[in-house]
Amino acid sequence: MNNDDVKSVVQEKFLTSERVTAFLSEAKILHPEWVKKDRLLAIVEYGDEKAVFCLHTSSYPPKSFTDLSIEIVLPIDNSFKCEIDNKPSDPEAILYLNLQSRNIKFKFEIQMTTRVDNFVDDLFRGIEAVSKMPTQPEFLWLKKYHGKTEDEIIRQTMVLPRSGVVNTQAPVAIRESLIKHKMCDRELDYTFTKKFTVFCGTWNVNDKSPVIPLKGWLSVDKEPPDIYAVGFQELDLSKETFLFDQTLREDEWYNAVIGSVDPRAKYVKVERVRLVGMMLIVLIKQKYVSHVRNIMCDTVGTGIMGKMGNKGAVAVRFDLHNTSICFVNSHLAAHVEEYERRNQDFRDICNRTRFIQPNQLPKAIKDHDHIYWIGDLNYRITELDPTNVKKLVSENNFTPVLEWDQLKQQHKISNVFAGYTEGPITFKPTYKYDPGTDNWDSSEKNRAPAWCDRIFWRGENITQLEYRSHPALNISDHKPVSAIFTSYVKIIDEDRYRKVYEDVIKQLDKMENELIPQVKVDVTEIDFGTVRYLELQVRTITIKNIGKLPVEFEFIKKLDETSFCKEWLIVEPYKKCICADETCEIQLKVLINKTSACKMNAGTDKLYDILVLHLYGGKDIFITVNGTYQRSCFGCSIEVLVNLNMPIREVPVGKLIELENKRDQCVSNQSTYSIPKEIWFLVDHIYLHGLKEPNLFEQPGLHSEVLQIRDWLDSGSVDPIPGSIHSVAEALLLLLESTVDPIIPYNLQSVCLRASANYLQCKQIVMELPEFRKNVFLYLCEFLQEALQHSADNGLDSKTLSTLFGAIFLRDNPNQMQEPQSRINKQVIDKKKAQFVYHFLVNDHSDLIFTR
Amino acid sequence: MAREFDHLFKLLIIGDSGVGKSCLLLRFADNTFSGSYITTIGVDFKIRTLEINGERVKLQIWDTAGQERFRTITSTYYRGTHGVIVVYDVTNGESFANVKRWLHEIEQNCDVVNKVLVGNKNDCPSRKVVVTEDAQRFANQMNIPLFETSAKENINVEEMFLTITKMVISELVFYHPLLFFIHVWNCLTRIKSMAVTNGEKCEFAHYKLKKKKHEMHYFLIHTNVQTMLGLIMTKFE
Repeated sequence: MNNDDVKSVVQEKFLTSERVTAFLSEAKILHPEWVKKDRLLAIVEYGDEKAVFCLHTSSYPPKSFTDLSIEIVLPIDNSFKCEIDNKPSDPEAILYLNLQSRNIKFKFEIQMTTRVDNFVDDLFRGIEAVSKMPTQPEFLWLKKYHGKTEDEIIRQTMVLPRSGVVNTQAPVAIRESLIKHKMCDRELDYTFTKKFTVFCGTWNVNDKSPVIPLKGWLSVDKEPPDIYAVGFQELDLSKETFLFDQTLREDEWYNAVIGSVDPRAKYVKVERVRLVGMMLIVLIKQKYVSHVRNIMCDTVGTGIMGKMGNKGAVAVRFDLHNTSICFVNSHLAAHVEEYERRNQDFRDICNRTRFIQPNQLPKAIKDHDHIYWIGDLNYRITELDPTNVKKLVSENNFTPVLEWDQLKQQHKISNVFAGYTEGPITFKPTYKYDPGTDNWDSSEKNRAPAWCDRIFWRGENITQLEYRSHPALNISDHKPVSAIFTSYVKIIDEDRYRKVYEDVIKQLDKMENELIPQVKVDVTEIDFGTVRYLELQVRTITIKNIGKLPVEFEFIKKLDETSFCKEWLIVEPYKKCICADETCEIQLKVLINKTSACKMNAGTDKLYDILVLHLYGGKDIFITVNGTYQRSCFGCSIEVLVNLNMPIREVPVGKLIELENKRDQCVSNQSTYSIPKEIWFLVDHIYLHGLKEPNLFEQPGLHSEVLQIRDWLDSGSVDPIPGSIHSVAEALLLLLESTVDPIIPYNLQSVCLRASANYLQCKQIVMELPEFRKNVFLYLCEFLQEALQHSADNGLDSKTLSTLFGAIFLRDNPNQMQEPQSRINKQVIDKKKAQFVYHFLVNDHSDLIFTR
Repeated sequence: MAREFDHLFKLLIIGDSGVGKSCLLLRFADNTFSGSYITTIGVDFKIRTLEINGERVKLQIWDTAGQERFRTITSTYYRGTHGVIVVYDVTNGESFANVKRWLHEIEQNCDVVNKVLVGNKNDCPSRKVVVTEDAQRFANQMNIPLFETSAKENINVEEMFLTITKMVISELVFYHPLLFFIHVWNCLTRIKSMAVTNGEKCEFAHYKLKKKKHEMHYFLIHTNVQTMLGLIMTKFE
């Protein structure tokens, strides 16, 4: 496949009027989100406008145009830029082509070949040509190619961060078309109508020049019309006109019309349009011209091969105030028997006429409020003998003849001009006369006379006042025809329009507001009342979706916080979707464990939190959670407990916080205990009542009893300790575990582990422990040694106990969770902890106690 | 071409609890009023589209909880706000006295922002305790426009919202290019991520825009972002 073949394939992708002037294969697009794949670049020319197309090809080289898809369209306009860089490492072989048009930029990597020169030359020729143009080209022909356009890309860039605005539902396009639709619906509320008279005239002039005045056709009415629409057919039958679409007659007839319109009013041209021999001139009274907008015209050829302009239509459309008006002048297929062809021409004209406005959908004829269709429609009289026709017509007896009029017949069965109206025909057939006379055609063909020249209309508020022919104008083989209409045109009352518009906008805003997610939360303030250590409390809130759409909620983090709620709170579910009218229950659970208890005791946290319940695309609801924490000896530090010589519940909160914050400076004095009284109570109880209890420290206690023991300790009850020995033992373990710092401070842990094999070193460490820690440590070890004396009853052994208490005395620092320890590593550490404690369970360390 | 709006602004309503913030929003967005008092627990918003000088402006108006206990949380919603409406109740002297605190709150949480002061519930002269002269004097002193409104009787509500919106628009174009610059910067960085320019060039544009005020004005007169982006890109290529 050579280059020309590829080029012809590329050309096939475009219309014949859009010429591929240069192309380049193997251009790699550089784009972070796109695959760096070969693209095909083509420069396409339409008239004097050029654009660069980037095409993706599914096979290389492309075998057919269906392999190609258009990805990017870059019009070469004033904003177009092209820059070329070399690849520094390989300046000879690789080029970078930067193309930019209307803020879209693309970069391509190109292999250096001779074709690159051609392509780039062509590109620069295009840029140069555009810079010389007086006006910016419009590139209407590019509209049909849906590449990634400027708007799409700009829209992507307009995304705003969440902190600014929230993206709500209604998409742009829907809202926009809703406004249009609603404004249309309420047109009556802001428009009033005004009467206009419209003159429509049609004449097949049979290749004649305007040698006679046209006043008898155009200026015969009592009042001058407001609008003239004058159509001609067969203006010029010369071959030159047909082939080159140029004729001098255009100006001749135009000037004749201008010279013959009603002299009592001043008219200005709205538009004139011609295709070969068909011409349409639209004039309006000068005083109304400022209300005429969006004037456009189009021509459709339906002649030879269905395309040429010897037959077809010319059309003009415009908006007068708030009414759209369209005039069509058509010349349909000739010959008596060809009425089907004429029907087809009508349909073709309807389908192919397109008025293209910038930034709007193209309009067809049918898209207008008022349509006037004039012309030599060429329908004949069939089934009637020409002599007979002539006889009836001469008696002005048109009804029997009109029954055989093809157009009346076809119109009746809606084969043509469906939805259009024609007024009653009260004039003689307008065809075919000997030119210059009122005599019927005298050639040997002996044609039957026919009403070839007709006027139809469509639209509301149009009344035909006159429908007539003008036989005195006899230079052609056709007679001119005209009609006068009164048409009511809608006029916008600006004030009322503004009001209605604002109203519509408000309505849409209201709709949009109603689509914003809405929920009802039954309680936004949750009071947990008194919350105690390790006692789980649950409250439920109900969220009901009272909006119209499903809503997704999530509890979100407040600024600068790591979690959406405090550590003592659990919210389930914290995220869910609720359908309209449905509800969702959310459980809020409060549990104060040792971590949160420590913070509560130290006053760094309290039972209070505000949760932010966020609805996606909607509002945020604040949910306040609070409660009163009943302070407990659990979660206090040993230094604080030894200072408390009354039950903790009787200690003022402020005092407790003060003690917690000053615990480092705690020294023994007259008022301090040597060990916390709570530990002593529990140990003493086991010592007195439970040393012989089987499975001591191994069998778990009852949670409810543990809570009772907690209350007993906190309130300083004089009753005996409640609960079984196992519950007391568990309470002891929990109490030791809950202290702010472990018995052996975190910073000594690694030292202890290193020394764990050596009893003397271990002893040294213990001797240097802070006073109260050392007391608790030795006191507990003494007690455990005592317990081991009774191992025959309680089943304890020193290995199990040292493992259990090793983990408590040498607790890991939760704030320093190193990288997840491997299981083996953890086992080693646990073993060392146990070993450390083991020394003190089997050796006599009374010397340590007595050195005190 | 489909065009929903030319500008999208976020407005914020703040002020003491019970001064009628939600009512003002309800009146402006839905043209309704409800006499029953439901305290706002959280932040809510509604939209309203206006046409100002032929430009379509979409407002997203945020209504905040006024209760003291929510103050720290609500202050996190101030970011990205174009205009703030500070409301007090003309029948409640304390709410007026607290205006200073709310203004301080704005200063703490927003860069540059337009403000209006609104004395709501101005529909019962016998109960009015904050006299217009005092409020006006204070407003002049702080250089903030004052509006006395009634959401109930629909007095001055539309005018007030219109004024702040117009302030935001004019701000954008001329006086405080910073907000607009942030917007442009967002666009630029988006484009950067599309590999149109390399990072250095964008940084350069950033720097230039910040340093040279007169150049900034040159760009910011063009309210159309597209045109502006084009200008910026060509300028710093």
